[in-house]
Amino acid sequence: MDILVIINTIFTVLTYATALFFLIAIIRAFCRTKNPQTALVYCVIMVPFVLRLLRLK
Amino acid sequence: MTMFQHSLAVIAVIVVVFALAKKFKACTEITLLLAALGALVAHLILPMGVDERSALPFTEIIRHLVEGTFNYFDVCMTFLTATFFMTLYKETGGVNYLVHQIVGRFYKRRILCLLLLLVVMMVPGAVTGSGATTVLTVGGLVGTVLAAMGVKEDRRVALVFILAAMSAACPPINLWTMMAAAGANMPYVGFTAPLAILSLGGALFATFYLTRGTKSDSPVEDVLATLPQPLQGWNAVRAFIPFIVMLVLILGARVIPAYWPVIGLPMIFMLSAGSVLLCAPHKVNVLEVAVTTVVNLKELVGIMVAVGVLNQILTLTGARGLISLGVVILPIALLFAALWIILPVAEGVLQYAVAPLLGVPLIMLFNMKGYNAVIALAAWSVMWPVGDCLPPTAVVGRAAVMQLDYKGSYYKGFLKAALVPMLFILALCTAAMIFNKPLGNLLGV
Amino acid sequence: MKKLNINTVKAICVIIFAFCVGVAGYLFWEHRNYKEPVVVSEYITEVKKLSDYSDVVKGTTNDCNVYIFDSGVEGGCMLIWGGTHAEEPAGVMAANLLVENLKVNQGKVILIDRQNNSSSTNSRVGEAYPRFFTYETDWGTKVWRFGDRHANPLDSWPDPEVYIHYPSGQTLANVDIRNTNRNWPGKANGLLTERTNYAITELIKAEGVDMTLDLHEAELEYTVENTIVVHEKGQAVAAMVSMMLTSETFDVPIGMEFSPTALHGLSHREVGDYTDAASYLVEVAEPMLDRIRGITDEELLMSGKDVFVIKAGEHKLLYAPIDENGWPIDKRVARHIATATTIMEVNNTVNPDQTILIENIPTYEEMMENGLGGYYHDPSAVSADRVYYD
Repeated sequence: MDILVIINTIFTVLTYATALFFLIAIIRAFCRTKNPQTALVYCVIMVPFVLRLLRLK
Repeated sequence: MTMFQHSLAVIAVIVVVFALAKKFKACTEITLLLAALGALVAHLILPMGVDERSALPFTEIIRHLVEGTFNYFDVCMTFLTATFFMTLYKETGGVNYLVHQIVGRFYKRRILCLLLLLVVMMVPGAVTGSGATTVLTVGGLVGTVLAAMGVKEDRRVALVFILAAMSAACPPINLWTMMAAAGANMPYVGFTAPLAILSLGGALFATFYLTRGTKSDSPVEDVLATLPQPLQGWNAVRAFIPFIVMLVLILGARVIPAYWPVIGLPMIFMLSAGSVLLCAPHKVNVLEVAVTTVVNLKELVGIMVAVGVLNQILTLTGARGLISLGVVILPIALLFAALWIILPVAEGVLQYAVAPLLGVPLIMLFNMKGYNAVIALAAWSVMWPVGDCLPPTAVVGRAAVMQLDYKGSYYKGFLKAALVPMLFILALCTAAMIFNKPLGNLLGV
Repeated sequence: MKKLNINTVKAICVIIFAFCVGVAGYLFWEHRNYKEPVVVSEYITEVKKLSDYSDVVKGTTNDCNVYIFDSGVEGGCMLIWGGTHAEEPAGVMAANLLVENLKVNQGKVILIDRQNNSSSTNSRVGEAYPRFFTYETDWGTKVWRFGDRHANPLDSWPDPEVYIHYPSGQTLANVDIRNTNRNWPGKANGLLTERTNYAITELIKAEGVDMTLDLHEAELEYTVENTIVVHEKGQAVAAMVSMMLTSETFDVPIGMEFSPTALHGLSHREVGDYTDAASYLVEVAEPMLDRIRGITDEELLMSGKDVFVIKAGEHKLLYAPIDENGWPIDKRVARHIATATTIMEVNNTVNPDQTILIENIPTYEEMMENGLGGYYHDPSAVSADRVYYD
């Protein structure tokens, strides 16, 4: 496999890792919040992160 | 009921739900989601016109709602990573160091200092196409320097917002132009000169208009004493390496595209953030910085996700088509007279989605009328970001308020201060749009 | 009490979240994994994979089927593909219909149903598209995936901050790196879509293709509409095809346009420039693609009926006529197939050494009269070796 393709693949994996990193941060923020509206907003924000990490969308 | 009436009723329901949700103190993100749900219910209940329609099962409704959350997913990733990078830089003391250096060296040379700040503000948005990224990366730093120069709070936030908006419009990357051009199958070619003239013209006017009357007559030492003291261990090399890393990663793709990997903005900012960790003399808890980033950005990202959902439902129900149609069937003279208000207001509602929504039909309309669509699209693409301080989204405006820790009134303080530069930019762009043919000939596009 | 309240709210949020993610996640999975059965014509010679021509796409979603009809009699070779943009179904259906019926008596015809297969596994965000489109046949419902203009981000993520076309260096919107009609002639070590086009360019060279035809659809607001866009090499043929179809066959004329030399990455420009083939691209009207369309659903996609688009037409904002009869899928597919067969016919007279003779393909009039259902075959009624999956 060409070296550039391998590097591109590595950046893809790192981008997924970044999404996971921020998903963990969102979950922590969700657990800490005391505001019901904010809790709902965090849940909505999480949706694309979860589906992308599960490789469904 | 015709499809026109159906889609009009859906829009009316959105307005009513929006007003009601606001009355009951729902936050903007939830208000937008409720408006989308209201639109869906109206769509399901109301007759849809004479043509046959496909069934819309419950599971597909859920799918549309969830799919909408992906509309700006990449943009949200960029916001989060860019803010994470700058929060990390700030938390480790880098911002304080840079502010001290800029004030110490340039405080007495006011015009040079302002031009330097203008460049600092324009670069992140110009290379990423995102005004919010500009505010989230360098907005706080520039705001602090402006405060040290004696610029009043309202004007400071206004200037940071306008410069961020113009940075997003500035070439090489203007996302509105790119999205609209892609939708109309136009190459992204010939836009550099008109975009640069309009965005830099607006940025220069705003810089000198909003800093008028301020003087740099206090002793530098006194000004420096009012600023937070930089932490020990920082030096110019450590302070600049993260930005050099960012610029190399971005410019590499321009200089040797055939040999450069596709990194993507999120990873560019994460790698820059990584270099902050390597350069910073003080360590911080990275996950805590990420949580802080998420907490600070929850409104911004939440609104982008909710607007994505609303956009999907507007399209599903025909409301998006009706809005789009309503704009393009306006008489052309009225269109010239009204776009300066329609475009920023639409941007406030839909963010980048306005480019395909209004931009593509407008390009096609202008092509059909024989106008210079390159100049016209460049003018619209500088008008759109001006609306980034308008509700319900007000993404860049909110980001500026948040980054500068602004305590004044959003409308009576910040927006009022920004009004004259905003009107100047809109007038400049309207003039460019009206004189699209001579301007096109002049610039050779 | 307050703590209990917030925890209750959070629990409810998590339940709603899990429900929505579960339901939508399953639908996304179903869409991405649905395989379209194709009953190949009994006259087919061979079915290859794209990776047989270049391993740069091996094991990827875009390693599509390549259907080869070789008469064994010396003549020309034509490559036809649909599915460059998975939101333009007429191209996929036309290529599919040809694969299921074609018989070649002289020369060679190569077909690809899903040129950018990845784009068909993802519905376009913000456009509220249906996931599938269907056609009623005598034996039941035939189902295809309805997709995006761009490859699925699950196959190509992230996008660059700006897309710089290889090899021209032209700057394009970043998402267009996933648009296979923006990265011809392809790049062997690029992203998936660039590698896909590289592999097809290799196919064109390896098979000695004389003509290529890329099947598309376009919004009625778009200037390049109901037309053949052609490289310099094919201008004489395209002009004659346009005249013949307009005067003898179609109710709405089909035009002919030269491929712009300054616009890079498109098949009609780069295939002609980088291979020996003459490259053609054909467009037909699809109201579903118009931004000014009304309610978005499968019915609009297949019938092409939309009162908002008609209203735009009344204001002279369209490049194609439309009335209450819309632009039904039968007509769109029939136009594509008639254009493909007429290009072959005309090319036989202009370039006799490239003669291709075919049969068993319905005429435009037959498709308009009978519909398309009779030309798609029941996968459960034939032997398994005739069924392939796109």
